[in-house]
Amino acid sequence: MSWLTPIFGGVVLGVAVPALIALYFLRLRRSSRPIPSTMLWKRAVEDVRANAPFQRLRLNLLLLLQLILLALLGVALMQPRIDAGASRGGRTVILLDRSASMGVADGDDDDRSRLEVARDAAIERIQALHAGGLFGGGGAEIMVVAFADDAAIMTPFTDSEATAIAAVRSIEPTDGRSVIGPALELARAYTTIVDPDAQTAPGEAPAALELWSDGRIADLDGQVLRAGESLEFHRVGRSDSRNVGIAAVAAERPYDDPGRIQVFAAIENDDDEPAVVDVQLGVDGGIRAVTPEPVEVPPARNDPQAGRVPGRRQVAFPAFEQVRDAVIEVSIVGDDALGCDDVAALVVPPARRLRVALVGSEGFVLRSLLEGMPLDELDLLTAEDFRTLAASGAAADYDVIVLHDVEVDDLPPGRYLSFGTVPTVEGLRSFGEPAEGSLVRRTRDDHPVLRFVNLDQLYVARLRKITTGAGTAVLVDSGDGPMVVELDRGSISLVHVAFDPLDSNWPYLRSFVNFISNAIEHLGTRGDALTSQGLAPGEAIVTRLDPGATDIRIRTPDEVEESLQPEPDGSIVWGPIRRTGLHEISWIPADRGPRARRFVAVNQLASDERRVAVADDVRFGVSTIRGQATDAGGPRWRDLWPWLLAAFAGLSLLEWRWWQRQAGAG
Amino acid sequence: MSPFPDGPPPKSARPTRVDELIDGRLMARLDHLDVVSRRIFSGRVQGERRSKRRGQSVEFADFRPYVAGDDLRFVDWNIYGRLDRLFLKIFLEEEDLSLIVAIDASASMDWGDPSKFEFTRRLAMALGYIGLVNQNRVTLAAFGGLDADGRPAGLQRLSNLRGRRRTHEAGRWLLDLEPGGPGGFTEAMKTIALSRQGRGVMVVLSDFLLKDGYETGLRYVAGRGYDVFAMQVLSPQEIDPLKHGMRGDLRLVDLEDGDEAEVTVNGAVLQGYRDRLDAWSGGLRDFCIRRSIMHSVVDTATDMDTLLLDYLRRRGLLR
Repeated sequence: MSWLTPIFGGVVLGVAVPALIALYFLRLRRSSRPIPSTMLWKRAVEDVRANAPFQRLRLNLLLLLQLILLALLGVALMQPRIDAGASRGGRTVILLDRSASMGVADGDDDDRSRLEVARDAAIERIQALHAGGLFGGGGAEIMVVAFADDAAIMTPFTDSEATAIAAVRSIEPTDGRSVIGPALELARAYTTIVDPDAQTAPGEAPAALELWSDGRIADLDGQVLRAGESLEFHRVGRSDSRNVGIAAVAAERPYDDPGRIQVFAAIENDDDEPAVVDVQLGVDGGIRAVTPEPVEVPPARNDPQAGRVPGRRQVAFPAFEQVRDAVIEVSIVGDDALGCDDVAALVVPPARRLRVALVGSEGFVLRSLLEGMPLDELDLLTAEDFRTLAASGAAADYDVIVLHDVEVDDLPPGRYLSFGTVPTVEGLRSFGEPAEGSLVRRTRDDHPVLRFVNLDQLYVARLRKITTGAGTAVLVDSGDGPMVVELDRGSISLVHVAFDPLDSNWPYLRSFVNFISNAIEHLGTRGDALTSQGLAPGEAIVTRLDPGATDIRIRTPDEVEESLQPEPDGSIVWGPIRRTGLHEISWIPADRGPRARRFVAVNQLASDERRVAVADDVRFGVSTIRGQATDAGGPRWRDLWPWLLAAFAGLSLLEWRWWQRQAGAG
Repeated sequence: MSPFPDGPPPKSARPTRVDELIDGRLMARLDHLDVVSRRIFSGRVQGERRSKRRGQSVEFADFRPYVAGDDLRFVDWNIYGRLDRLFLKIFLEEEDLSLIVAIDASASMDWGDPSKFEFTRRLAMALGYIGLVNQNRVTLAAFGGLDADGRPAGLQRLSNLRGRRRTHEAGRWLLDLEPGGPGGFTEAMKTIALSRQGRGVMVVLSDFLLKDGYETGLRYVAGRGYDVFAMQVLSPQEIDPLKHGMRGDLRLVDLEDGDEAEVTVNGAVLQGYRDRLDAWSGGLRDFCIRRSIMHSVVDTATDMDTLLLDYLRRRGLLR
């Protein structure tokens, strides 16, 4: 039991009870009875009073009733509450969702955010778990884990109520997606004690998990509750909240007119009713365009195969002149439940064309392809020319260097697309005899290099076998090993194809053209172009600044500024990103000129977060866990004052009847 | 069980006829009783009592030497013949007995269920009847009480009744008594003692709950030729108040002087009251014993037949 206003009730009791007793002494209502003589009674009373000065108050039912009435009133004023839920000893893990959708202001009737309500409810739960007073025995051990894109232990298991409450209070909102897997892994790591010296010893009993969330969790399908695990789902939010958000945004410079920018956006509606919104385009902080007519976004529909599919509407803004770089901002005008997906930004680099070198240009296929691309300059170099270039340190002057089956002993800093022979670089090594007749097994379709690249028809007659190390990502995999890998070594960026295109049917496929184009663009715009691609909350900002940059700072959308220290290779890393919006990186260049700035756009485009209607239950594998509603005052607390007031009223009636009886008798 | 009385009984409930004070059945049973005096008193006329006075009855009492002037008829000549000395035969002279029944008619007696005053009137009527039937000189006295104007009447008396035919007169006098006012016990006893006419038996019927004390009054009548019976009449509500609904926060009002006592009646107070009542009655009994006064406590719930035919016979007042 806990008390909301114990001091107030205590003060009332402290004043009223002595006052009532005093009134009884002063104005005790007595029945008048004639008797033959008061002589013996007076003497009897004097005898008793000598031993008990307060005898007048003994066995006085009326006073007793009134004292009980006062006690009930005083206790009611203290607003006692009991924990209606089962209090539990042992270990409890509190999982608190701090994703973007928890920022929706429908947590309670006061329009507090879901996260605020969840924090209060979790704190009340902690208090309930520690309930029991001075003689309540040992307290519960509580661990607090906050999760969004990643999970963070706010406090490991602690038996301190104050520590656990402080941990909950320190949970800040983010604009990230809701991913519970890492949080569960963290909880399990702390609840399972592995003792190598006692393999057969009984393990710790699994901790009870209590989850405060809106139930819109991205990775629920991949999660199961293990044997012995129990989870309580405290549902936060309302199921009728509506939200329209930006699902995608893109900006392109037309191929034939790079001085112009065209912006595309996709708007999604997750409600059962259609939504009408205005979409606005901003450039460098100023409004450039608004959709001429309100955009009607169709309602969500239930598809038998795909489940619930939100309504979607594409918006294309007319191209506009913008030669220099620009910060593009697409926003939905008007308020809805979730604000962070109403704005999406992009940083578009200035219009320029790439300078590319092709080393080992015997193959006409690559050369003709590159010559067909809108490049600023294409130099055809021999292997010897390249070595000379590398020795002079001018290799970095090219935006991209394409290596076609060229043996390079030491790859100088730069950005490379290589085919066939494996360049000598850490994290990539050739081994064994080439494999013959390889087919594609798996591709990373989401990678920019593989956009519109269908490799189903690819047949490689001779594939060089390679091993990959740290920092190397496999983009295309075959049964005989990686086919296409990407390597990022700070000053060296490399996309390597482990076969000569001429040893495959790839030059005859349209995917080859797209791949070359994607790879050149991807590598060529790397660095400054990183900012042109919006990041998502939870990711890290990794970029490279000019050599010699000092006093590097980053300013987040909520105006928090931090100093950054560059890595030895000149790159900076900051993350994970918590909020959406423009992050500004500024530094003083090596020539001590004016402070340089670069913007990084962070957008929340995940469909899980766009769907803000609270889920009634969460499914972990085959387990469906029904959610308990979380109210502003806490779902588990039950107020006792109405019952106390009812008892007060009943006793008042009894007291009144008794008083009447006494008055009648008197 | 009777509730605790809230005051004097209504006048309409009081007896209005003599036969309501004493009925024929009781009178028939009382005809066989007589008032007994533990002493032998002299009377004014020859009655049916032995007297200490030696006289002309047939019951021999003693001898005494002859002195000049004695009646020669009572000289025992046989002794003179044997001893040659004159002795006078002394006979016990039978005298009438004086019976005084003093009734407390103060306001405190007009309370209880059954009422102490009504009980006392009936008892006085019965004792008076026994006296009248046995040719005793019966005097009824009442102290306290109110006159026709409602003022304190002081001592009221109906004196020197004798013979069965005065029964109705005695009954009417008792019926006309109006209880109320203060007791005036001491003054009444003093008046009775000073106006003593002969010797006899005196029965005082009172609750003896006298704030001024009973000692002085009883001293007036004790040892002055009266064989005194002090009968302390108490109602059941006085003997055990708890059984009769006496509890809670009460303002007790004294019927005689209007004195008030605020009492929260609980177990401790009730026990204290019982202790005080016992002490008060015990003190009265001790006082009476020291002065040869017969004391007894009478509960008004006691059956009148049982009281007269059994209890008072055993106590020696009747035979």
